[in-house]
Amino acid sequence: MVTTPNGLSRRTLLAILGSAAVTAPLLSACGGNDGGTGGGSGGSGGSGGLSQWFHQYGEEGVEDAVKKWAAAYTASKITVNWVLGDYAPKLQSRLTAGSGVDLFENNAIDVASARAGQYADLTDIMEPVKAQFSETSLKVVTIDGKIYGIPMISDPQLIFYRPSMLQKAGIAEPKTFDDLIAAGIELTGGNQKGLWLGNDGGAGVIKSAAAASGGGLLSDGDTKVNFATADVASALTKLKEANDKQAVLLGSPTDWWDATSFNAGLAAITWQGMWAVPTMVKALGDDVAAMPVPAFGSGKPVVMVSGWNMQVAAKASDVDAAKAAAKAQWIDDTKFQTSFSVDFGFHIPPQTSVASATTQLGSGPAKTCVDAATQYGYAAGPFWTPAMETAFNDAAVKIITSGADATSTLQAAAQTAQQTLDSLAK
Amino acid sequence: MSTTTPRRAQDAPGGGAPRGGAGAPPARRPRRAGSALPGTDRAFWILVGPFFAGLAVFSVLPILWSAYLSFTEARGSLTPVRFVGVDNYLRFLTDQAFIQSLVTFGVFAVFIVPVTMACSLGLALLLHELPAAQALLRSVFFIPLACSYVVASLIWKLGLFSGLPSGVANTALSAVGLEPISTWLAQSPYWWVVLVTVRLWLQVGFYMLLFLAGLQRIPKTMYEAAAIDGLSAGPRRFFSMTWPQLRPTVAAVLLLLLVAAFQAFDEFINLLPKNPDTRPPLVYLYQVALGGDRDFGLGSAGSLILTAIMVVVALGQNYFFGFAAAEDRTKRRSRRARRTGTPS
Repeated sequence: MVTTPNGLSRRTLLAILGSAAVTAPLLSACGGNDGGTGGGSGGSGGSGGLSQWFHQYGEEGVEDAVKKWAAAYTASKITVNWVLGDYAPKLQSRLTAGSGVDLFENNAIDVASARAGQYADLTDIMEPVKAQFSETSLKVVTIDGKIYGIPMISDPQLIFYRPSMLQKAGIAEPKTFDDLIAAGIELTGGNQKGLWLGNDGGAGVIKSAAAASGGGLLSDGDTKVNFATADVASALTKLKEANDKQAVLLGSPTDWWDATSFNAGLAAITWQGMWAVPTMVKALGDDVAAMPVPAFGSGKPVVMVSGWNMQVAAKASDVDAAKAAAKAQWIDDTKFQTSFSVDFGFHIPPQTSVASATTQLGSGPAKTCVDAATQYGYAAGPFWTPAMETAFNDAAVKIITSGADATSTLQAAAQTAQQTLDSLAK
Repeated sequence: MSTTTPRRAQDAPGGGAPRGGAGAPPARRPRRAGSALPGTDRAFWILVGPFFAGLAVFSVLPILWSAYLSFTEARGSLTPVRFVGVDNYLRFLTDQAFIQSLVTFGVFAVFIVPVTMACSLGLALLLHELPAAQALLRSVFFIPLACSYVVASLIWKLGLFSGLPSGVANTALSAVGLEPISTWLAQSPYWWVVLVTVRLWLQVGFYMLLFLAGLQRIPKTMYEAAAIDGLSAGPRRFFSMTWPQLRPTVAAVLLLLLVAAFQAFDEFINLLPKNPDTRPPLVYLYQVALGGDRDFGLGSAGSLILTAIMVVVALGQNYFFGFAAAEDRTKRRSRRARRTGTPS
């Protein structure tokens, strides 16, 4: 019988190693994964230094600009950590660990983290200037009456289309959701699809539509999930029809937030963020126009507005210094905010005075975006959590691509989402 | 490891050392080499100690902590807020999305396990018979293993199976007069083609090596004896001689393939848009525990449930196909005796 020097039989040893090999990865897959945070040091290193985290912006030049700006701030030494890859899990694991990050941008301020005391309360620096910020931008940073972030940029998502293609087919700008789908089907032919709404077939657009169908995604003071409506079910059914007729571009090499496929003429109508306006104008010149996600049923048009916000970690090495830096950058220095919003991709500065003074956003599709966001802007707010978004998206995708029954699938998803929402109730 | 058993099975009826149990215990080995060779104990701990320490700190402790968290509410924090008993477990077990993820794993395993098994065994058989260039081809098939799943996923997604008519797969379809498919990554059954091919490309070389090793352990003399008895190379020789001899390797490969399929994560998350039908358990757990909600309590409960399922599957698999365990050998011997009328 073969034994190892310490008396274990080879089979026992194998069994131990084998079970360790089976269980360890399964469990560790669930543990924190910091995964490497790209360049720069994650450590805030005491001695007055601040570590500031940014996710990787796709546009050329943003990283340099941000680093120069950080270097120009003299009150504290700011080290910019430009995080590649999956930003949220990396950031969250540092926040959970309580070290390595002082200032950070965040596009999903969440209730659990706020209540777990991971974010510094910025109400004192935001309160005096609150009136200058747009309502949608404030909604996402406010939890339980406290303000946890300074809105940096607002990113409206709209429908963009090629006026020349619509003209050629004799189609006017769609005014209702049904018109939009009909136009998409009409404009499909050869290698060109009518609609390009993302590789999942359009769940994001439907979220806009759900928000538009009266009352928003959440209602009754953010206590009730409100997306399982007849309007949303009918919108999803319409979208499925477009998918069945192969009018929707799927399997593009990049997902919806990158306009390459639209710019290459693969689709006539797309759902896209305003950030892509510069690349679209560069590629298509005048032949691109924007419009809000059109009304359907009894609702009104809607423009989903997401955005990024600067926050301070509650466990920052020096919370006051970090707050001062955040205020200097994102409240006081309007010149940089303007540059950040228009010199790379296009974003709307959340401070209304800054936005209106930004001339680059005053013409063409960018102006349409700003106007539409002002008039129809909607943000679901922090009580609409990723788990609820997953439940909604799952339902939408099931209906669009697998042909599940719209009404019952939506209802089941709403139930799951309501469960999550209830667990957040204080 | 396992490939020694056939020979031992032949020896056993004769004078083989009894494997513990009834008879007089064989003269035990000197209790431990350490007592004979001074310093061996210390060497053992110096060599193994760091490994055990690492295992304890980075695996055992987190596992224990996660077991503790699974009974608590811990959202956005690794410190539990309150004790919730088995709520997290109940929620997971009734969670449609989790059950769907298990179904996804099941479908994936049904595709990937037999296909990889057949392909790697087929390649091994072809290579084993090859008079020349065996080492070269072995490397050729093994090299993809060095490629990361992420990189391979990107190649598959952007190059081979992009939904555009210009993608490689679509170009090939057009060349033979078929319609291009735009839903490679968005619709069943097309996504299974993409998922299975990428994993097959990455791992077939490794399992081929295992089978080659298994094949090389089969004594040539057996084949010679069979040839004298009139059994030439062909399916019959494969099924009556090679396949039974490969059994331990097959059992090992089967288990490894199942475990690997269970751990599927990279290609699913990198290749496909978010779709509940293509979300294997680990991706779902990742979303629960590390996605935006960071529900560590719920995630821990899920990971323990998943571990339990995996352990049950592994034990079941070992029971049915086992690594030629003792009783298993007996079964085989009696079967063979029945077939041939003589003990082997």
